[in-house]
Amino acid sequence: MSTSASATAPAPTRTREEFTGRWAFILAAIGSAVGLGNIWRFPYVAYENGGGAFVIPYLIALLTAGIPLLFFDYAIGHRFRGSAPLAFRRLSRWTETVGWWQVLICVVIGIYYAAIIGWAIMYTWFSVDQRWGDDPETFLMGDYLQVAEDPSPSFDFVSGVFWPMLAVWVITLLIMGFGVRRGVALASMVGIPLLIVMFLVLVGIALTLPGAAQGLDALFTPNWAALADPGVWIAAYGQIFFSLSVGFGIMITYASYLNRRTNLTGSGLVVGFSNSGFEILAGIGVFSALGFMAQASGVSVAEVAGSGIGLAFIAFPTLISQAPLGALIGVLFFGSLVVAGFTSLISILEVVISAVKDKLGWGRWTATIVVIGLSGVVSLTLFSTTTGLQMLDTMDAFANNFGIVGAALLSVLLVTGALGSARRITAHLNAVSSFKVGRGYVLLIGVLMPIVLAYIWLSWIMKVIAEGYEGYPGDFLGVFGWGIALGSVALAILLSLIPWSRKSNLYAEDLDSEIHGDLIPHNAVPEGTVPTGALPVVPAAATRKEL
Amino acid sequence: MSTAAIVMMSLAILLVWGGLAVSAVHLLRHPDDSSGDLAIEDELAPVVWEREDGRLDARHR
Repeated sequence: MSTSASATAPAPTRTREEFTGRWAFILAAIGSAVGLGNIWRFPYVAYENGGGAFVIPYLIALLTAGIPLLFFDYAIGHRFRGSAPLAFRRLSRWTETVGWWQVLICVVIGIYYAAIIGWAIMYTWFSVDQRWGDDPETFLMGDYLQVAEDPSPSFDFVSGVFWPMLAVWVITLLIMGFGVRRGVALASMVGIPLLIVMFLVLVGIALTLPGAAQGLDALFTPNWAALADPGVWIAAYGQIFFSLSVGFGIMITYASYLNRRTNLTGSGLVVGFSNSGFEILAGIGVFSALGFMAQASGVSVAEVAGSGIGLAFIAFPTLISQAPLGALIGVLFFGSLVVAGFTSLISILEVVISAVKDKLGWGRWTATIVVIGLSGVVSLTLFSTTTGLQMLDTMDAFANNFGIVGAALLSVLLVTGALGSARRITAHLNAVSSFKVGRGYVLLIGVLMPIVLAYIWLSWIMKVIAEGYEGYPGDFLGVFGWGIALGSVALAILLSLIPWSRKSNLYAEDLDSEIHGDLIPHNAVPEGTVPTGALPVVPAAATRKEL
Repeated sequence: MSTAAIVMMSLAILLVWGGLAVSAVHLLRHPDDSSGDLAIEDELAPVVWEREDGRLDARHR
């Protein structure tokens, strides 16, 4: 029994980057999970789907889907110690495609996410003198974004969008080039406390506005009949799923940077509840503000409630102009969007950088410069023009509803179904974690998750096939919706066919490094086998029975 | 605010932030080294790995 890699394989020469400890990882994971969706999506989804009664399906979805999927991603990344393609390659040579699909989804999301952060930077500045005047909608579409009526791509660049976007890419390049500890983790260790403080002050101010109670009343008054509507439950599962950054490689990548001995499930619970904790806070802040706006305009909360870009860049500017301390509210609100957006963007791009590093064996700066450089050029070309908004809207819808849901569905089906590896996942989690998972967990990820994800995925696809999307022309959707969505799958298959060279991290990264200390014997790889990154994942009692 | 809205808001805060507090305390009480079936104290646990053919192999330390 040898403790070295296969006799023919060269000796590993690299060690994997690592977080300094579990709290650095937890903050980075929270930084990833807490993003724009927490602030501008959750409040409206809750309001639309039963108000106060939504708490029940929401919590059930968190416990039965969000946290189990978080554990699933952690287990794959931690046990197989690689970026999404490498981790899935070590799981089975047939599953590498899933990892590349997740990487390509991150490429698509990364290039448009930077645009929204760029807008938020400008709106933080516009808040000071309320540049939008009396008509924020006309200002956004006309003066600021200069949206063209025809969505076909144009090369009319908008300087007010181009320069802040360029700044976003340069800052991201500098942060990510410094690596996992001094870049990725540090950004969240600074960003998350800053975000929490800014948002708490914002909520504090919003709660004192006249009409705030009216807004909270609208958000939290329970509509119990909604619980009988399956659509409300799907909305709860969808919100939890999209909000937690699960299913598209981020948590796999982050978990691969963890020390071999890390309490995975204990950390996952903190991340899951922190994300939801921030969503509740965002709901209180946003609806207090909307209550004020409704009262100031003499209309009902229902008439001012909204989500997404409309909420952030049209409704909020309106209330900033009306509210006392409006400029401060604006700076805090858009500043929060910028910080939450940056920590999420960094996590999205880390999936890509990590995959490129692993497959090609490149160094951190080389991979960062190439990935961010190329993404930045595409991002600026597509989204700093007069047709950026329509393209962003389309790519966002397809990347999320087709890409993320589809890739997550495929990964749970393959791992728990085709490969029958659910026991490997639970055994690994239990080998290193304090919060144990058992058969109930396997049922959740092996049965409930595929059903829920398949329903969300197929119903969205059928709806878009039947009705189109937002009235955009068919050829536009064919290229920027279906084209990119299906092209990503095809490209993922091609990328997984490229063999792993001897320089790649499949062979060149040392799984037995000193960092893992006392776990070294567990990484033993018998003669004549390739290193799979497999750990001893079976507890003593189970092992005796199995063997 | 109506009573029902106040109750549901309090419940949401209590359950989610309470869940966060409980999970944070749980994590603090379970350091990485001593967590899980392969905690450092468990010297008797066999070393187990998976061969390429998918079967498990094991030996005692």
